[in-house]
Amino acid sequence: MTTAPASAPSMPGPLALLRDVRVLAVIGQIVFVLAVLIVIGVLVSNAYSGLAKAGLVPSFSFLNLESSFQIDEGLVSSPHTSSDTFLHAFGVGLVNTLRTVIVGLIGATLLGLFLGIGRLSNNWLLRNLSRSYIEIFQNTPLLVQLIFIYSGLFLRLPDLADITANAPADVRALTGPFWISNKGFAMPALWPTGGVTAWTIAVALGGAAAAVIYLQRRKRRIETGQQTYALQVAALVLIGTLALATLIFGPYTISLPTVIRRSARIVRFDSTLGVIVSPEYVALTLGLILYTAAFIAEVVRAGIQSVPNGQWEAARALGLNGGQTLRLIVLPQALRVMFPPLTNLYSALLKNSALGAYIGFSDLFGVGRTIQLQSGQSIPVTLIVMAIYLFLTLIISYGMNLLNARFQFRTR
Amino acid sequence: MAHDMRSAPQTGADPDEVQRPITDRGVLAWLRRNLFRSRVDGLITIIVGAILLWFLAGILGWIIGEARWAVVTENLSTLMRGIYPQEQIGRVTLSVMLIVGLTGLSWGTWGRRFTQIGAVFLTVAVVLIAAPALQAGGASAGQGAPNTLAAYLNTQLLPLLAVLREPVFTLIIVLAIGAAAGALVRRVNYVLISRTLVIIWFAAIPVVLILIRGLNPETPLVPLVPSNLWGGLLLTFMLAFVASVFCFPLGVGLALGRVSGGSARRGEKGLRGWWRAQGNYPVIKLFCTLYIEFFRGIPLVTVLFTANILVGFALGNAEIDSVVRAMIALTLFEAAYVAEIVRGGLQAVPKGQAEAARALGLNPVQATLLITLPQALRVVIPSLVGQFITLFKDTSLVAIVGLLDLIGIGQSVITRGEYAGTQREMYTFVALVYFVICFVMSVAARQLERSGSGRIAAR
Repeated sequence: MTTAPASAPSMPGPLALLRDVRVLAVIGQIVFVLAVLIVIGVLVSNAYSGLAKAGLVPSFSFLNLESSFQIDEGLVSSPHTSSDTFLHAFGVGLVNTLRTVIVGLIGATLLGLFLGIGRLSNNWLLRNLSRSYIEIFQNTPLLVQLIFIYSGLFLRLPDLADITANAPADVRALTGPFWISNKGFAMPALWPTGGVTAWTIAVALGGAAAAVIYLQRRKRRIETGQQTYALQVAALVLIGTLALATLIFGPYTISLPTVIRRSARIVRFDSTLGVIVSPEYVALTLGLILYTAAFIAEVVRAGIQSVPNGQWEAARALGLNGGQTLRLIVLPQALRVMFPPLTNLYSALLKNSALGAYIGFSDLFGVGRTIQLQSGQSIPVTLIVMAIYLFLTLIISYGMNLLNARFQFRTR
Repeated sequence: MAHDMRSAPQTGADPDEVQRPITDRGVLAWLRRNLFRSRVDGLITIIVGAILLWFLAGILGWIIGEARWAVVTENLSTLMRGIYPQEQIGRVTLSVMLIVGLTGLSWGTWGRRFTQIGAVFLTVAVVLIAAPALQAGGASAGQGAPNTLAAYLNTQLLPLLAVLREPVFTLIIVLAIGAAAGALVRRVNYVLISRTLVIIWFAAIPVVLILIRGLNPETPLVPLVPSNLWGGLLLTFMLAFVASVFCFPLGVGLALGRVSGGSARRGEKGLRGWWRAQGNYPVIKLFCTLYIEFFRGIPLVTVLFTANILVGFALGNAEIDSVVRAMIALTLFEAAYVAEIVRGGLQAVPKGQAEAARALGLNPVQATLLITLPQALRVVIPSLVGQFITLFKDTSLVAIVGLLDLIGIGQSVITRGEYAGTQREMYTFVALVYFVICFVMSVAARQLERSGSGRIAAR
């Protein structure tokens, strides 16, 4: 055995740095950033030069130009005409999207709740009916459903000219409370008169009084066990105030929808009277509700099934029947599990509302497409539309997160 | 039969002959338990049942009596494959048989024996066999008055069934043969057939692509069929197929990028905790997070439209086919959703797995690829199949950018003069096709979930 002379260990050379994980990580990221920047840079510059060659230099100045198209539905107070700006058109499109999405969310949640509970019902008919509905509406694309509802159902409704065919030929305007046609659904509108402020104050006071009465009576019932008919008395007070206030102040006049007849075949609604809902709007909202409800139903079912069986048994032992158990015990606990998938479904409903453009509804996406064609500015319009959808999705996620936090377990 | 202890046997009578009361056994008992459990329940059953019967009668009357199915019967080949050259149809048929055969093989190897799907296939086969018998009987009766039921059946519904009979029948037979083969080979050597099947599935991807698209115009067996000739159900399948194949690795990569990072130490707050959570690759994590949140927040139609406009410009003014542009858009979009699903799976794998892998000497890349990722993917297979079903349905949106997929071709067919007013028939058929395919996939997903692939194996 030879003993080599002991020598001090040499300092690691610069190459050893490359074996350090932290150095590698930093180098890796720098390479990644450079690669991404180069790729994006090439793509963007290609796109820009291509667009410039086609004469479509992106800029945002078009927003103040006059749009040369009009939108038939949207804000009642300021309908979009061809002399309004593109910016106004975007606003109207956004309003239309919100109209659809808000009604769609409420309707889909209610229908989905109903279907999800029915899926677990003891009744064989209800259970299998819910199951068939869910399977059918989950497994067909939304676009097919929308087109079917719109062109297969709503466009087949009777024509206004046919509905009014029996009226005498010289009658130019026909009024009626309800109209169902392929140009839309019309119903009476309520127009506020001078007495509406006083009426609102009276009803608000009555509502506050009813709430106070309800809380007081409920407190007395909980403490003494006496039946004080809290809900009934409060409802009576509220309804009484409503009736009295309406009689005294007369806040609203009814405006009945009217149909104007230019000739035997040219018949259209008078858009200043009554409430006219377009078939596109109803088709889109109905389609969104029916489609999303099928998915919400599955989420509700999963949520209810996640509540332990012991809860049901304990509720039964305490004397609650099925409906009370569901409402007071099971659903609040089920909500905890339901929130994350519900957030996804609500965002999906918002994004699916863009399909309305295919059936002619002037939602944000449809208006964006028209503006693209009119102004030629594809990139800025796309950016605006994407940004608005991102913003709306953020709002939905944020709101649902707040609700979610409220329903979580509070553990010590 | 067991003794019924509730009714005392009469002297001399055989206790085994005593039965429960009539309302407590058989059909009546089932009715009482399931439909008429209480007064309200019974009322609901009656009302809902009446509405349902009225509804079904209306729909059935429409299907058999009034619908003009000629629009589907005469255009079936266009609906199924667009304007694919007639002489090359054999390639499409071959690839369809290949995929269906593989599916049958997988069902036989990995699936349950008898399912609702088997029953449904059987019913469909029986209906298709029985249809010509009806036609033979009604042919003589329907020649006279054009308004009789027999006449409608002969001219509208039965031709549709006849045209569907051959292809559907062939598909069912191929599926059944594959399932039987799979069941047989599974008995012999399950592990071998399992692994081989996975490899065959991966190999099928380029095979199908070459079969359908071809190479270049001169290749003898498989000349080029450019993608602007694809249409109908063929286009839908190709879009979904290519998008699934490419969005999966991209999604997994994005998920790995987003999950890279640690967590703040206990009690560490503010900037320091946040920085530690960023992990070793904060830039990559930021990029992946932005990508995922961006594509999950905008509708697919906006991505399709933008891709339509930009892809051509972005790649140097090249003439990119619109189908390829749609494929790129679909891939980029769905990758974000796949990334979220895989991220959930990655977070479900216990941290001990990664630590043990490192302790055994695997470097981080090996640890992720060999240990963490397979477990994560196995957990989320049901959700992934659900996402692929959604992808299949999302391909229908390319009709909005003008591509002629199943919906687009349906739309263009019914605008022809002789088919005016046949929207309901056409879209019922389209919906039925989508339903059959998506329903089968969702049943498969449910079976996968039940077979335990959705859980980490307990130790």
